[in-house]
Amino acid sequence: MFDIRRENDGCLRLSGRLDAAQVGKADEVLSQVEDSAVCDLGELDYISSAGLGVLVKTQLRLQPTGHRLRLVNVQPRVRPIFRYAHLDETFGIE
Amino acid sequence: MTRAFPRRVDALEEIFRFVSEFTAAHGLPESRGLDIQFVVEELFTNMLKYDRDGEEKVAIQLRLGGDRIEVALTDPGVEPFDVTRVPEPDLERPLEERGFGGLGLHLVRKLSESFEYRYAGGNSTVIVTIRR
Repeated sequence: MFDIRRENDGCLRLSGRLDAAQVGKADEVLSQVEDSAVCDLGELDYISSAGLGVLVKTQLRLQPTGHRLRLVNVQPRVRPIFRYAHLDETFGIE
Repeated sequence: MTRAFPRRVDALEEIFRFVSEFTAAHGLPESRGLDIQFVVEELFTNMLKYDRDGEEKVAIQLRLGGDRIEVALTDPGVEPFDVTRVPEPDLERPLEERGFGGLGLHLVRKLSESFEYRYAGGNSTVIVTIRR
């Protein structure tokens, strides 16, 4: 089960499991993002390379316009995946 | 435990349930279960991507031996494709230059202790071991 929703404050909240079968759902929402945005991953339990791919695709689309995605509340269970992929800095993960 | 799954991305849900059955049966921690799920998803989706002509189900075998977990995926009736030879991505290059190929297999290597490929009788098998 994966969910992505845009909150009233503009923050994107991702929850559940972002695997290869769910990237279409993530892409539907992320492809609508046109300005800098914060993605709250506090409830994201799992992410695979397919999930990373849709986030990277969005970042690459935003970068030339001076905008970016920033990921916050990245949980310890998925944090190593971003670290091993050298994507911490790309998404401003602290 | 061995089970075969259809060559479709929407089989992942069933595959993750299979992994959960295995980790529960052996009392493995949730974090290890997530590592196994990750490795299985990456290898399974690679088989879907590279062995497009395969029609038979992909067999997934999970085995606990001592302090190692062995994960083996067998794709029958396909041409050989050694995933262990896929070059590592250059992660030091800027995002816009590095492309995205090979990242899943890079992550499999990071999470595993060994990564092996065998081909016999038309069957492609990838075997990964993970520390218990």
